[in-house]
Amino acid sequence: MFQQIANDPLHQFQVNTILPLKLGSWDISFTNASLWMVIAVLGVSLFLTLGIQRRALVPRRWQLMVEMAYEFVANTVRSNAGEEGMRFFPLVFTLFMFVLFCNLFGMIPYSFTVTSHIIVTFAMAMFVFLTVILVGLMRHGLRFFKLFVPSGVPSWILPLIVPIELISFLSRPVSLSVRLFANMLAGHTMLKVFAGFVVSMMAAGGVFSVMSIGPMLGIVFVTGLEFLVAFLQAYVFAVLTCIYLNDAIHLHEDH
Amino acid sequence: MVSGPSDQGNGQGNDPHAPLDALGKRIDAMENRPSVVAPKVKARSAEDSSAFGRAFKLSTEFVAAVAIGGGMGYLGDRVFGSGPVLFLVFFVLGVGAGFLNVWRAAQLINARAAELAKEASADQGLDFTCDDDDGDDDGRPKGRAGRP
Repeated sequence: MFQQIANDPLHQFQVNTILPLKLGSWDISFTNASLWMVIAVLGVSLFLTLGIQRRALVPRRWQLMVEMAYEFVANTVRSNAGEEGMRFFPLVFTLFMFVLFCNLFGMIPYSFTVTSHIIVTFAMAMFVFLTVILVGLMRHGLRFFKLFVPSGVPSWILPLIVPIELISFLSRPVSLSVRLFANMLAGHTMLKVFAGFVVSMMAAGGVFSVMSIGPMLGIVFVTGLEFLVAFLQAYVFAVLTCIYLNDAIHLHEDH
Repeated sequence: MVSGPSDQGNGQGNDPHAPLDALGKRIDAMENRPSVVAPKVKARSAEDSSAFGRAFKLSTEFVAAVAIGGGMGYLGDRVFGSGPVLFLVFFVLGVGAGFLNVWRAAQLINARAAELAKEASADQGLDFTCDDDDGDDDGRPKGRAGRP
């Protein structure tokens, strides 16, 4: 395993079956991806429940981290989707914490980054997308489709604007999922490619082994950057979820 | 939440403000340290906004819309057997939607940058700043700054 990761920067994204399972003709095997999703869920649950056990008035570090996570997401929801959007706080908080923990657990060497697989991010993006449509239809009925008709546009231009707005709306789950997946995939690949440089330059010997300090420093820098990306992408996912929910809740009311 | 009688281990619980007083003393002690915090915060927030901008790959926004538009046209052509007409029309509409996406994302990034700049200037007024990365901008009027 270690050998393969050193030689192939894409090996880290391979999905391996741990426990083969079948439901009819469907393959529902428990894979390393499933394992790391379970680990992420357990990690979030333990982080939150153990962190607030003391319930101190003046929090210690761990409780402070939990409260900051809560406040952070709550502020994001309030400022992007309004007070009414707080009804969807559990959804946004769950998505944020899950994505964040998947990204962060992916930073552990030899672990598996669940969010570097587009099927995972696309499933979450589709979930958000369908929730927005459902909420919009439930709150506004067919008036929800006025979302595609910007107010104050001359009617002769509508045949052009409505399809464009529709395509823009339909492209949301694509850009939402591709953004997260591409960032994680690119970052982790880059880390392993740099690591491969270090190994092969060391092996080449002579001047090269001295020069291998370059990619080594590169790895240190990119690792720091990847931690930033891990947080940022979870945040961006949460912010966009809020903005999309805001569309469903408020339509054009507060432009 | 804070119903427990002995939160900080002061068993009698005779003074509910004891933990807060202790915290106040610690903050006072920290404030009297000669370290400078504010300029660091300002530099960090500028960094944050550029990172936020980079987190949005604007190319993704564009390509996603073009792909969806092209895909819709292609499927329409398959259903109606109308040659490449719908594909071409929807491809162009997809490009339009792509520009719309990019413009909206750029607006969002700008709004976020303005928000951070405001926070940074507000922070400068204080002599002690908490590391509130959570954008705890309670002073903001109505919020919704990030709405495209």
